[in-house]
Amino acid sequence: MGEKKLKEMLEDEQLLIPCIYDCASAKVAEQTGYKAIMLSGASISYAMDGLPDMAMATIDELVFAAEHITNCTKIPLLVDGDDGYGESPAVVYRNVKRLIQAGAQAITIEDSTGIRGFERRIAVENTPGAAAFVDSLVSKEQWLAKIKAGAEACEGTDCMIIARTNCYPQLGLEAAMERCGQARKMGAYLTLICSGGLKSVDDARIAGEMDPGWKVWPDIVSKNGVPNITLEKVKPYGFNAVTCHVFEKGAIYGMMSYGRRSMMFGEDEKYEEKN
Amino acid sequence: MKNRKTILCEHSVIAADIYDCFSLRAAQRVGYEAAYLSADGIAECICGLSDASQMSGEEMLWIAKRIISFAEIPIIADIKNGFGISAESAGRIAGRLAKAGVDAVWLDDTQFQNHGVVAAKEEWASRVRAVHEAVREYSCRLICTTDVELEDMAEATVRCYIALSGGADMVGMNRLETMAEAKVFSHNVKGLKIWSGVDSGSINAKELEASGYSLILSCHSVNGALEGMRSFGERTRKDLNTVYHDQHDYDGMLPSRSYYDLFDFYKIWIPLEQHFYKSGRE
Repeated sequence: MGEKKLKEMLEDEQLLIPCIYDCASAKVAEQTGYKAIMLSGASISYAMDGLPDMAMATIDELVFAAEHITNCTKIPLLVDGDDGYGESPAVVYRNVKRLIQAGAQAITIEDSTGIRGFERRIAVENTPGAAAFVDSLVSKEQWLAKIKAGAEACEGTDCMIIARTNCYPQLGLEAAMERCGQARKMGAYLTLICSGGLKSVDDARIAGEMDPGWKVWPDIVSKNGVPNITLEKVKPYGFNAVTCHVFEKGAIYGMMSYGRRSMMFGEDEKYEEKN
Repeated sequence: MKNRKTILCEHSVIAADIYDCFSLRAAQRVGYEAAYLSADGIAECICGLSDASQMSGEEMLWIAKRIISFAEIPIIADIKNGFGISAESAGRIAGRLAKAGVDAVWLDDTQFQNHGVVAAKEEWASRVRAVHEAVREYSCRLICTTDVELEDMAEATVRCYIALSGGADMVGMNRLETMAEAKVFSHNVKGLKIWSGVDSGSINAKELEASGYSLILSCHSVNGALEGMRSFGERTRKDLNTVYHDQHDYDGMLPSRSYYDLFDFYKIWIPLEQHFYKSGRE
């Protein structure tokens, strides 16, 4: 109780928000100084279920994780709500309510369909070099209805909706920004252009001009040692939340490294044979 | 297809502690032949609790079912004292885990929610019988260990024989730390034995095997994960970018630099999805 809420934090400062997937990663994020965390839908699929990020995880799994994480940490939790885990806005309303009850302070609701992961992977497998992120989209009307449902579920709480559109690769930046603007009218507090969308500071500038409210930068990444953006450079355009993935790889590296040492302690030959 | 006999065979097997599908896959990739679902690991990492005594059997089952369905090596479920005050409750959770597919359950003789204090021998005997009864129809093995103090080796021996007569396939003493203690216990207790003194750095697996220990538990995953996450997390927060993360090569353990390599699920699920879209039945 008494901790600063995410909404206040975003008004005051820009946050680098790591994706987490369980209590251990959430606690480490808190201990290493991050001020907010994002529960990643993809990482829940991998870590909890051993399944790909192909809309196979369920809302129950998300709620389970969110509840346990917020019980053991004090920093705000954002939740990757995928497509709201339902086609019907009423179902999305219920699911958002459940996540709020579990302690979420922000929830993304995106405009792709439940087969999004399959389409991405098939595109990559079949056409080397093809854009990885080409998602089927629900109609704009349906997505906006989901945003409205989510926003109404948040009324009277500290939680807010992040309207996430994946339409950029198909429809272009202008259409994506138009969707963001409409989502704000439905009650979204933040917007997020994802899945092959924003890539550079130039994109950030255009987005900032067309959609002046608070925005989330989707997963800062790097190529050949060069980050695609710096936090400082996208800040003027309203990107007060920048997400990243770091703990999945850290955990797996640590486990493999410790596991190899432990295995080799008495079983060197078996390890060598296997690898 | 995993080989259940692995965990009860003559040569010694080292089982890694796991608590989620990342730790399972990491253990498999490194070469572990078996793994055990660590109740403390699940409590700490998944449920945010200090240890398993605060966790419910339902929470254990929720996580365990998801990991088991994904395992390629035999899985032992660490059920502590059975997540309940009665023998029946221990039997119930063990039976549900066995039905879900665990290959063995590992039961101890501590009191419910009184960690480190052992239950009366009569209570222990009925707990063992209840769990054995619950798991045997699934061909799930029963491993029993005692938590009695090291000084009381005679009592530990009695408790292990109680477990063996109640249906245990393998027994052990949790508080053993040295090779000398391991040899004394092994001399006293015949049959298959587990080494659960997993934090004992001076112990060598081959020596344990020679002393009759066929299952050796390695408790490294939680510490490894926490250490790895701390180092990646601190560096990323300092740099305010993911260059360190993106360029890290797992010390060569994953050549592609991607943990996706641990999961071959795209080879499974993509063809399955495409199969369903084909017209007609094959």
